[in-house]
Formats: sequence, C-alpha cells, structure tokens
Amino acid sequence: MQKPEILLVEMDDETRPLLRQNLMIAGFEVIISLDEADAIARMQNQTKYPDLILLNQVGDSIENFLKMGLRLRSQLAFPAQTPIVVIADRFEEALSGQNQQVGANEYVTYPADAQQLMDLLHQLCD
Amino acid sequence: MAHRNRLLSVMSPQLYQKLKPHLTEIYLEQGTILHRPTNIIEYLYFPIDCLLSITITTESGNTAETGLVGNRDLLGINAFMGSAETTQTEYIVQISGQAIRADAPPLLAEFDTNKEMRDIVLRYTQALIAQISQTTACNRLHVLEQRLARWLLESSERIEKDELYLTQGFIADMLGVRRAGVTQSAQALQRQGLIQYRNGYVKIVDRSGLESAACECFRVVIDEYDRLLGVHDY
Repeated sequence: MQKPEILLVEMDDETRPLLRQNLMIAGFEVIISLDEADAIARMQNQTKYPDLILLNQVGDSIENFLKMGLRLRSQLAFPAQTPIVVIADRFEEALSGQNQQVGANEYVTYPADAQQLMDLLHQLCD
Repeated sequence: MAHRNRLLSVMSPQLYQKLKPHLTEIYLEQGTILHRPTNIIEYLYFPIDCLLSITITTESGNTAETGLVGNRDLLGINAFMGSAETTQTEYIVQISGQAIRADAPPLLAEFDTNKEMRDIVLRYTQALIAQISQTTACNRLHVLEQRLARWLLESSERIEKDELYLTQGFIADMLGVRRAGVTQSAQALQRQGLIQYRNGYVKIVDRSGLESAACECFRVVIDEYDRLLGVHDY
C-alpha cells in the first residue's frame, strides 16, 4: 500500500530533522521544504500531488501560515480538497490537545504530544 | 541528620547555627517570580525539593534558561557581590516545593567575616560557573534531542524525583527552542522507551538509557559539583 505523502514547510532547523523522522516512522512520505519559495521549487517537477500540506508555525501568526498554505495549494494547482494543517507554536495551555477546523479543508492543531499530530494527519490522509 | 540542601549540609554545625535565625522554610508555587531584572536581591533561596530557574528574556520576548537551581544549589549568588547587587536575570519557580529562604544582608555579613562561609559560597560559585559554561557549549554544539535528555536528567536529579510536572511550552522556554522541537524530541525519547510524556507531565522510565541519549554535559556538571561540594550522600 502506498504511503500518504506530505509537503512539509518547516523553517526551524532544529525541529526539521526530528519532525521528518517522526513523520516517516509514523508511515508518511515527506517532501521537506524550508519556506514557501522552497516548497514551490521542490514541487515544480513532481508528477503527483501530495496528500496534505503541513506547516509548522515559526515567527509569524497562525493566520499568515494558513494563508501561506492556501497560496501553495493554489499556485501549485493542488486539488482544492488537499488538507492544510498548521501546527501552532505559541498558545494558551487551555488549547493544548485541540484540533480546530478553520475552513473546508484547513486545520490548526495545538498538539499536546506528537501522537496527536500523527493521528490527525492519518485521519486527514485516509 | 544532614540537611536536604547540599550547601546547608556541608556547613559546620557552628556556621549553620549562626545562620539559622535568618533562615525560613517556605513553600514555593510553580510560576512564582522570585526576582525581576534590576531589582536588588533581598533573599537567597536554598531549594529542598523545588526547582528554580535563572532565565533571560530578550527584547523580542523570547525566554531562555541560563541556570538551573535545585537541592545542590543556592539561588541569588549575586547578593554576595555587594549589599545592593542586582542582575539582568529573572528567577522563577519551575517546580513547586519547599525551600529555605534567607535574608541576604546577614548572609553577606557572614560571607565578609567568616572563611568557612566564604569557601562554601565561592566553591558553589565555581560550580555554577561550570554549569553555565557547559550549557553555553551544549546549546551551540549538541542537538536538541540530546539537550532535552540532559535537561530532564538535570531537573530530575535536583529534585530527586523521576516525575516532572512541566508543560512542553515551559520546557521550550527553558531550552530556548520552539515548542514543536520539544514535542518531537520527547516523542523520539518516548519511542526509545526512555521517558513517558503527555502535556504537563514527563516521567523518566530508563535513567541510564536517558543518560546515554544525553550529551556528556550532564555527567560533566555532576562530577564538577561533586568535586567542589562533596559527593551527594543524603
């Protein structure tokens, strides 16, 4: 069975290898990109669409990361139903453990642990 | 019976009795700020089973821990540098628990006139410098997974407990990294059977394995504390 493929935008050098490894162990193929421009460059020669776009919030608002995900999906002509997930970085502890659907196929996750993220990704890719 | 704070335990009975009128056992709640930058240091703290952090917050609002203070430490060492001393750092309670609070002026007076007091404080200062020096190198040279393992060991060792009630956001602040970095590192350590974690809670389940996963900095700092302050035997 083919593994689900994720386009990951991860700007943080320390988190990138850890997240990539955990995603791969959880059963995903991962296309890693460092930022929006890099994501576009990496996808231009791809022959198929990823199953999901995952963005990890760094140094900007969740809203702007969601907009980045929408731009990527649009500019790369991915299907409109391709899910976009933003991992929140700075948030109130009360939000911890929640996954919020913020659009038809857009989500913000406030992970209490890494498993919560993996469960959400599997649910959206299946 | 030896005192549960190592610095108090290495004092002679005579010195301890002299200081005793100025010592008060108190309970410190998690999140309490004990000192803010530029304030004069009025109290010193000898932790018993709480964990305290020395932190710096940058102009951009990011926080990082610069020193970890537990039952083999003393918080507020800068008070010995003069009667109206302050520091650019902040002191915060990381894990609730008991500590001995001491009035700074009488301890400074004892430091100025008593060689034993001076020796203990200066040896501890050297140990703290060793910790800060090692952390500086560690932050630059070791990967996050190693640093998280070291930090969990350092924290656990200072309160003598395997369970730490800390949020990932708090740990991220202490390590000066992003929350996702802590979450993903913790997942990797859990997968190896070294820790169990959920938000707000970490349990060390394989201490020797976690030491192997950590960088050498944990052992180097422990050895330096033992060399300067005597082996932990209480």
